[in-house]
Amino acid sequence: MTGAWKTRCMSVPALALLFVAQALAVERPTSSQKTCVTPECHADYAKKPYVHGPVGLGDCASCHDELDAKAHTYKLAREGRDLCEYCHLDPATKKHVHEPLKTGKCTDCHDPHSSESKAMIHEKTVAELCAKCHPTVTDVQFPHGPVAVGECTICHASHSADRAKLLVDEPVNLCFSCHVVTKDELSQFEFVHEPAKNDCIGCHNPHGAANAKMLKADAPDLCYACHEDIKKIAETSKHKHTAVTEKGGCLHCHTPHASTVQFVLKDTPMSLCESCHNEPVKTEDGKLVASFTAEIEGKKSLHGPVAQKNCAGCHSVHGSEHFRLLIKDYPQSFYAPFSTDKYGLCFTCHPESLVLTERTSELTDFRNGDLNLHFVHVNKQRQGRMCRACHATHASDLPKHIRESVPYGVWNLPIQYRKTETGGGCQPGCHQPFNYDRQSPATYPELLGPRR
Amino acid sequence: MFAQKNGTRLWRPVTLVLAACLASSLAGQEGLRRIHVGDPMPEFSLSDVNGTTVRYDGKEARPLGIVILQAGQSQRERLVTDIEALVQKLRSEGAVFDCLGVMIGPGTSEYLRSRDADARRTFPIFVDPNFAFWGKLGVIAAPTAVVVGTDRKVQWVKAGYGYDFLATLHAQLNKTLGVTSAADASVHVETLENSSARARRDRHIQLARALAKKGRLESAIVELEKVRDLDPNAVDVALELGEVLCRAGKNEAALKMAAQVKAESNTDKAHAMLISAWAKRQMGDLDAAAAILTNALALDPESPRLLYESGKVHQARGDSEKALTCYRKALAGIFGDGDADGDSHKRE
Repeated sequence: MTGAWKTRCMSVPALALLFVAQALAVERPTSSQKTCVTPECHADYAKKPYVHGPVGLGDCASCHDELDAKAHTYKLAREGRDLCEYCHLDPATKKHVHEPLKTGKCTDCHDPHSSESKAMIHEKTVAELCAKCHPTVTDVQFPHGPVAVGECTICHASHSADRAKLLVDEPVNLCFSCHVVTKDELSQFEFVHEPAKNDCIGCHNPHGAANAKMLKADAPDLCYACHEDIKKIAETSKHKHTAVTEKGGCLHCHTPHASTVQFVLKDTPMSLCESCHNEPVKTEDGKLVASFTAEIEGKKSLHGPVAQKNCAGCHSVHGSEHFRLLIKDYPQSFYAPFSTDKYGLCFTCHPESLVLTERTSELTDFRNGDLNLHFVHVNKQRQGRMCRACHATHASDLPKHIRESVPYGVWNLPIQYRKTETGGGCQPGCHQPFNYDRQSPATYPELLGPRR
Repeated sequence: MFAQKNGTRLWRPVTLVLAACLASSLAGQEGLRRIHVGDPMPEFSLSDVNGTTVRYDGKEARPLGIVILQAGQSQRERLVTDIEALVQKLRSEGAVFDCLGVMIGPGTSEYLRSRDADARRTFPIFVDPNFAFWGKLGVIAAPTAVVVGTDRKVQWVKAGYGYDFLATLHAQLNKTLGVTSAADASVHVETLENSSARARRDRHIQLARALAKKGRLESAIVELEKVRDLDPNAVDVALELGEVLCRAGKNEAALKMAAQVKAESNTDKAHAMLISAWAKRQMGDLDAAAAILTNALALDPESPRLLYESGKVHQARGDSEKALTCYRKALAGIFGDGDADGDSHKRE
């Protein structure tokens, strides 16, 4: 096929179209016109609510150059971005430029003549326009406010910006501009969750999410994304804390932004614990944990951590290898051969010397003269008494939170402890009555000695 | 006073003693067995890991901190760091006091030798191998903090490195140092909630303002209506919504909103009337608008916005002279009388 023949063949449909167009339309002018926007021609351009300035002025030559008036052919006055930037100087001046603008495709977003929408965009809303290329905002149950009202430009510049993703401000400032939890307010809190300082999108999807509050995931999974150490404890520990592992876990106790309480807790530790342990609670393995609140209510002598409302002093709240989520080993039995490891929990605060030292006048007041009665009771290879043999774990009505009775099978044998100025004594069910005195030591029968 | 055994004074007068024994938890309820709040702080002497001895005789009054630590405890490092930071902070604020620690338990020497010189200067730690200091105070468990006032009496005892250890210690030290009059022994619980009604209200208002600024008036109205749902009696929100309705040309709705405003102050009443006048003017009822503005100006005669709106009504009536007078008064209300004649504009 020769070039001439090819041209003729291709001209046939073009000519046909031309005839059809001429039959349907008004006759096109064949001479230069002052404007194209007349009641007869291109009238629609001026009828829409938003009209491009030159169109409104009828100054079509701002953008179009006449090629051949007789043939009614025109070309654009300038190529690419230059066409628009000849008047619109500012849009592309910043560091990050929107791709259509960078490539001179302004008309991908804007109608060059007129539009039903502000800024002469092709779609009804900015969001609809953006979604044509950025389909990130569809079908989310919890959309971000600006997304929900179709206004992406609250956060993103449409042409260029100095920040990545065309953000109009630093991300944290951007969030605070509507969420008026300002930096100043945050600074008033001693304990601020690190992402709340400058990385809101660490936890929240800025467009919207399937989770409430636009969270990228629900707690605890969201929290585990950073807190891998806690995840390991919570998921692999022998004894798990359901308050942590169940859906929403971490947020039972922690507030996500800032708190006056250490570890961004929602309340003081014991108050948080009592929000569940104010009544008997079933553990994962079906065992019942007695009501802590009932156990301490009205008691005269509280164990130190209880008095200080610091349950975490003894309990590992995220999970533990030890029963009752204890932070260290503490056998459940009444008797246990003494070893420092077995008493790890108590030795967290109380020195090992308290049990390892037979004679002392400093370590403890529970002594007969200088005979350390903690040593006598506990430091035994056979029938060493666990601390719980004499002390109630949380509270009691007797001094030093000494328990009122000891379990013996199903019996409860009273201890009948009494304290004096220089010592004390007990009449327990487990042995004959004994007194002790730091200044005038009591004489004990043969059964107590000699030891070792 | 605290002095080295060879006579060189290590610390000057000592009146504040902080004894904290390292641990993640705390001691007995009583804190100490032998020393209680109000008791005189007994004399004592302590040696460091190199054998240098200091002595406290309480003869002079100057704040001092002493910390007794149990070497093997898991949170030892964090507690020591916390106390060092607290001491540095208080000293940087001009507080004059001393603070020292006393450590017990296996591993004490190794740990103390590993500390750097700066840390040792800030918070020197001594050893108590035979529990002499422990016994003198009657410490039960670690840590225990004791604060002694300038009267050399024990002011405060706290056991355990719990969630509030540092906060309450800081508060008590401030009290002892005279920085504050009352030590708050309990932590005030407050959290930053972004889901409170107030937070929701604020963010809808902020978004509405951003939308209105961009000319997205319909969306701004939707946001403000959400706030109205949250707080139907909020006067400021009703007024803001009324204005946006006027800007959007929803004059009937604006009039209705202005009528619903439960304004108490003259300023708010005048603001509501401004919205009504604005809507009336846009509806072409210039007489009604003028009448409303007259009443509004009686309530708030200096309001630039009322004066501006009056100008708009005059302008709509074709009375340019009166309109200009109103505009100038409005500008004078903003920029001062000097600009009432447009002087600043002329200068420009």
